[in-house]
Amino acid sequence: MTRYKLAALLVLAALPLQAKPRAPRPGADELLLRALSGPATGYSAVQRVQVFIPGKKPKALKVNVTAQPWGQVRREVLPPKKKAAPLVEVRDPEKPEAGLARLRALYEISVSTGGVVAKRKTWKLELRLKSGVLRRALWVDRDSGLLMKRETYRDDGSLRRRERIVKLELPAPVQASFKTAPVSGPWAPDGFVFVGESGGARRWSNGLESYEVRTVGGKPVVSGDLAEDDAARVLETAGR
Amino acid sequence: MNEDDEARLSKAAMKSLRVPAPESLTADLKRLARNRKPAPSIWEGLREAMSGGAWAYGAGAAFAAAAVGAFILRAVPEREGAPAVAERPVRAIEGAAPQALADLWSDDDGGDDDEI
Repeated sequence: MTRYKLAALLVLAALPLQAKPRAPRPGADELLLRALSGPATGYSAVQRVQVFIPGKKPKALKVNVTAQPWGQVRREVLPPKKKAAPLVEVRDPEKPEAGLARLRALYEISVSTGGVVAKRKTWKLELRLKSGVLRRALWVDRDSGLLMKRETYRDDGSLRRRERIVKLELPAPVQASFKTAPVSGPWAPDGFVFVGESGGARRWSNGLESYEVRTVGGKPVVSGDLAEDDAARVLETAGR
Repeated sequence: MNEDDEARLSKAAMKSLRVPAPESLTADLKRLARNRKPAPSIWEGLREAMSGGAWAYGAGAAFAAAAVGAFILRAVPEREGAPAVAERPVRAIEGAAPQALADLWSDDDGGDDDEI
């Protein structure tokens, strides 16, 4: 081996020393708590929600999201027809520990690198039922803890729903409090609103998907297009 | 034909005839060569063009200011203020019409991309 070859080998061997050290992978609980708490600063974002119905064309809607630091989130769903009224929701945050306990009770959770979403590096959380079926995947911003993307899957593994931030300003100036309209009844997932009651069942819909709550044998029962964790949260609050 | 060209032409004719040029002609040519201004260098021309007159300074400054202003306006997007929630009535979400909810959705390509 010539001196030059040796020098070249030494340089190549030293290259990894110059590489940026990898960020340590956080634990699933720590990451989920950060995601459930939300960022420490206000932000504004555009979110696209897509619903995939078998045999039909995917449907989507766009949501303008503004949020206070660790606080309320205001979601304004913009209709494609400009004359139509937007749907505005103001969501109060849940205690992160309560959300974590519910998810832990239902899913096995694992963490992996998640790639880039809206120009931000993420961690990916996979939530699997105890049977091994992948139900949800969450992409969490490594810096702020903001939930950047969430996918929900059917039992057969096909994609049912994707909610993704497509544009983000973080931090962003946000007003101190949002004006809210009082909403009675059980908690409902983002975009679902109460649409009526018939035959002893209360029904909620987002225009494409729906679910209902009825009382069977003195206990509330949820049925419809909801993932297990959402259904559990509806049941927790069904007495309202 | 000017005097300079005439002297050169005479010199060339003498040379072609292999006749020695008279002293007066040689002296004339040397004088003409001495009096000829050196060709202005390209850098000198550029400097003169750039320095220009007082009006050129004003025009240049105005152009630069306009360019900087246009760059700033393009580079710094107008910051959206906090949403005017107070002015916009919050839609009652109790008992929403199913059709109104369905109208919120539109066809999509199913792509998983950022907004451009």
